[in-house]
Amino acid sequence: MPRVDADIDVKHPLQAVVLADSFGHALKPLTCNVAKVLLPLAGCPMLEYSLEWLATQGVEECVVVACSCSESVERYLKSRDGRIGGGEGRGGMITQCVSGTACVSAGEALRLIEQRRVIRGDFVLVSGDVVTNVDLSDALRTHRERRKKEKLAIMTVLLRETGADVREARYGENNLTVAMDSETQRIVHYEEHHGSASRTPATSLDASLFGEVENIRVRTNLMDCHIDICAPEFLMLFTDNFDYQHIRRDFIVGTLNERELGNTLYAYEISKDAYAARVRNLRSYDAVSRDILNRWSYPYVPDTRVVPAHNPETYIHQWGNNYLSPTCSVHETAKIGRRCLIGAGSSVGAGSSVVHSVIGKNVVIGNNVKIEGAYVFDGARIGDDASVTSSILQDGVVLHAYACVSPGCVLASGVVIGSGFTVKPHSRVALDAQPAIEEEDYDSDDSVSSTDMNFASLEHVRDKVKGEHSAEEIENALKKARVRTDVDSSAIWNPSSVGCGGAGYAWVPRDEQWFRNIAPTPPRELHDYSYESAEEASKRGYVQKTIDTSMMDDLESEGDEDTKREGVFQREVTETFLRCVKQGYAQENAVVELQGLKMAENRTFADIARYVLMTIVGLTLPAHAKTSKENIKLYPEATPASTPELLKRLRARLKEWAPLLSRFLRSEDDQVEALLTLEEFCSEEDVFKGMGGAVCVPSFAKILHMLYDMDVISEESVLAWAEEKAEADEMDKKFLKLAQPFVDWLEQSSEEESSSDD
Amino acid sequence: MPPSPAVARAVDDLAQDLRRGRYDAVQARALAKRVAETLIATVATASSEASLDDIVRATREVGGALAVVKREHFLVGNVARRILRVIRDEGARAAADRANANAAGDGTTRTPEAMSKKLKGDVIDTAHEVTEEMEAAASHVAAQSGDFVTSGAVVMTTPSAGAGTGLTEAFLRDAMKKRGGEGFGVIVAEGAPRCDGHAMARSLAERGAKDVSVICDSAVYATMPNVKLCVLSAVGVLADGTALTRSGAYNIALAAKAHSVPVIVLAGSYVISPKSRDEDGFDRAVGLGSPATALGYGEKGADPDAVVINPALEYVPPELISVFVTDHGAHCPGFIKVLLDEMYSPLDVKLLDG
Repeated sequence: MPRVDADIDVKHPLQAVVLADSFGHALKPLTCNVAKVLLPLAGCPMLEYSLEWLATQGVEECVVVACSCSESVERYLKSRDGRIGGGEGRGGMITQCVSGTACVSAGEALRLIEQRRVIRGDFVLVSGDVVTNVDLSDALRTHRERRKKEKLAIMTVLLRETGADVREARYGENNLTVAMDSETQRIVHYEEHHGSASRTPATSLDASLFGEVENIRVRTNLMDCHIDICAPEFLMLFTDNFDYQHIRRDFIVGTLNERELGNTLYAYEISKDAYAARVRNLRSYDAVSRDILNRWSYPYVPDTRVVPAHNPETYIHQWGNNYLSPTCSVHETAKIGRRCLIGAGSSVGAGSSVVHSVIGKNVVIGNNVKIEGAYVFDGARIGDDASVTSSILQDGVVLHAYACVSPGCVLASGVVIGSGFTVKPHSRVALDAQPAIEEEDYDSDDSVSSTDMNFASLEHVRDKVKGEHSAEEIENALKKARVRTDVDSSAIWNPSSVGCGGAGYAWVPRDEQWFRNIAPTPPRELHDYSYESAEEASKRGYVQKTIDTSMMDDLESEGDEDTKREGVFQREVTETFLRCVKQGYAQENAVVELQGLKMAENRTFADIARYVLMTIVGLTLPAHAKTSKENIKLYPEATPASTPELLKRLRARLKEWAPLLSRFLRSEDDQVEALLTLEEFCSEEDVFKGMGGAVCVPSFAKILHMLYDMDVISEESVLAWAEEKAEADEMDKKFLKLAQPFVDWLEQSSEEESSSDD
Repeated sequence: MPPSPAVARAVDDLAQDLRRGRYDAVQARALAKRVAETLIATVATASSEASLDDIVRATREVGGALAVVKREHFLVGNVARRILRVIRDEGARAAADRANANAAGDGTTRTPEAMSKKLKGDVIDTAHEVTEEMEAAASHVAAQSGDFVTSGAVVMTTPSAGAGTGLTEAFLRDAMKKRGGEGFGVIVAEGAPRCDGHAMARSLAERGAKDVSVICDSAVYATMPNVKLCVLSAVGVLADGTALTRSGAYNIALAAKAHSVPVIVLAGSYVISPKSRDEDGFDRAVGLGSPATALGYGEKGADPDAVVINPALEYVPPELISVFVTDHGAHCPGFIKVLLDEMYSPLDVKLLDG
């Protein structure tokens, strides 16, 4: 469909894009075989809340982008359409499903939408896991009026005012600081912090902003609703900046940083009576469920039968915000506490108590069972005298008598817990083995403990075979276990994770902070929020590493092709950097230059930084054959006679550029990678052939020391590098041996430090 | 006889709109009109072979399905009953005509199709008349203000359910026209937590009422000795004379009883339901909404998990009500049953079988 020229004022139907995937793995293993948005939330698939809300807001066309498990979403939408007859939805909303199985981030999904050319005018962008009852009409009007006056006001972000404690303790969201023009609500700064709530995170605002905007209001009591009203240009920007992955972290922050492009973002604060929250992790799943049962999301509450829009379940509201299906049977002696929902066909046995819990359809709960704060999905069976606390039991989970599920557990579909077994707090159990890291998406939250994972999923099999079998046999056993999940394969399930007669693999417990978990929070403690940032960094670092190792493998096996490509990239970086040096660019401008290169080559900053570092080291040596003519002048004429002279030259360069390097080489992984590159440089391998790096070999330890002094390389990285190298063969240990005194010194000083700490 | 796809869609849409609460805050007559139109469409699209019984059955099905969607809206079922009454009456008249024609022995025997067509046409015409009558109900109610509001009286009221100019406001404005802005005093109970009493008082003052005061709901009893008349409005009336009103009205009715102040309840005749409160679901029809209007999320350090009951409506029992003022005139609560017999066929008290 041809894009309508934006200058012509055409009345477009109101469109919406629903991202039916959050591109995370916070809810694994629940989301192994079913899309996250189809998980039931207070008795109704999550997606229904946003679809129904959009229909109420007068949206005429709705595009649902399904990524992981897209078939299940497609199937669901089809059956949903089927119930209302044809593609034309009730209330005039047409729902269209775009499946982008290959998309692993919101950015890619949005690029896919742009490619399909389905969006013709300003549209509503909402995450499929949002529950809200906001009246959008005012926000839409404000957005449209603003767009008429200001073409480049491409996005209106809906924000909800909540106390910081509510945001963190209840929804497990990060700190958010938004600075905006107090009159026009234009956002000038958007920053998600990963600091602890007790320590107000520092925010630095660009001083030039104060010249532009008269009154800047910095707000920390806002929560992002993940509902945006966007102009079609929004999608184009995603296509232009193909490295944008996240809407918030990349797009909003990126747009605010590139103010010179003139694109502006505006905030819209929703009314205090309105409710909006997103299910991001287990904690917010719990919180949003409770909010729905407490009717904050009215009219999207079970007894109004608004959702799902087609053949809704009937629930009868009772005192204490209990919602009971008329067809459920609760024994007279059973106690139903506050805030419970019990679905159709479920039964609760004598003497059982159910408090603060959501029970799905056709769940059988035996006698004297204690359930508190739990989410039990359809068809689960809970035996007599079992107990479940603050956990999620997915469809068809079976708990045998006297089984006990401790707080924070997640039991995926079909898991069976043996009689009398106690599941440890915060465990995750699924019938599928935890996927090996290769199968994980780029954006996975799980990739943190990647290396341990493979071991863990195999661990119980190993227990069984007691290490007497070869890896191949273990693999076969695992395969068999996977294929025959429906058959009683108790021979393979480990009784220490699911009990006798149980079924399921224990997944590695997430190194999860309290605020992500479904279990109730210990009241008001000081916590370290650095989890996510660390996770983020290591995630990036991890991806970085896989690219590199695979490249090295290729280099070894396939030969020149990749070396050549890498060489070209290396030269590009060198050229760019030397141009900056020659023309005496300020560091900020150099960053812009290199950023451009990064985008053009689709590489990471760490890649660039490694080669910049090598160029800097190379600048202490005379020009080599590959140097282009205009740059020859930058190089010294003679080889440095001694180590001190080399170091002197290096120090002069590093003084200027160290901040840039340390900015690009953030994580330990990146720094280790840089050290490995330095090794390559000194031994004149691959792309560094003929650059005379060998001259630096005797000074290797000193260079290392200087990089450490200049804060380019951290102590941890050096030690990590040394550790990695310690296992290498003798040939590879050449540089480690050279650097050994320095490494020893570092180790010693760190030990001293720790001992003095004690 | 299944309804045609277009009608099924219209019924579906209306049901979903009711669930969404689209008609919770608008005037009752808008909903009455839409229900009537949906039912007229059901009649209009009935097949040409359809007998009177088929049409009645189809209308009962549609009306019954809509009536149970949201019990707070009594009028949905009532509009269906009114339309059914029209169909039954027209059917009876057509049968009588036929008998007369046969008795007269004029040979013009009409085909069943033509008869059915004529019947449908008649039904639709009369149904439209009924719709118009319902639309005019509010003004008929308001026009009776002169009989109740006397000069120098002090009237206590509370905002009606629904947004905009409610029945009470229309009633008082009409009284102002008759008695003049200075003719009587108005005390408005603010109607917390929504507090739309403020807007109502302002609107009355802007239209010339000289003596308007707003009091908080807890001051109702203390103010009652000065009051000569209480005016409430109902969103629904049950067969025994129980009124479903905005929450806060019971409070006023009780205080009025204690001070022997007459209480009049305004209601369009189409909200009077032949049902009783103990019938399935009606006792729960109190419009339980979001706690947000009563207590903000996490406001004042409140735990969001606290159970906040925030009903929009409540029942006022008949013994506290002096008179109902409807578009059919003023009646005491005991007379409601007689009114019901006039309006609906006893066959349609229960719309859904079983």
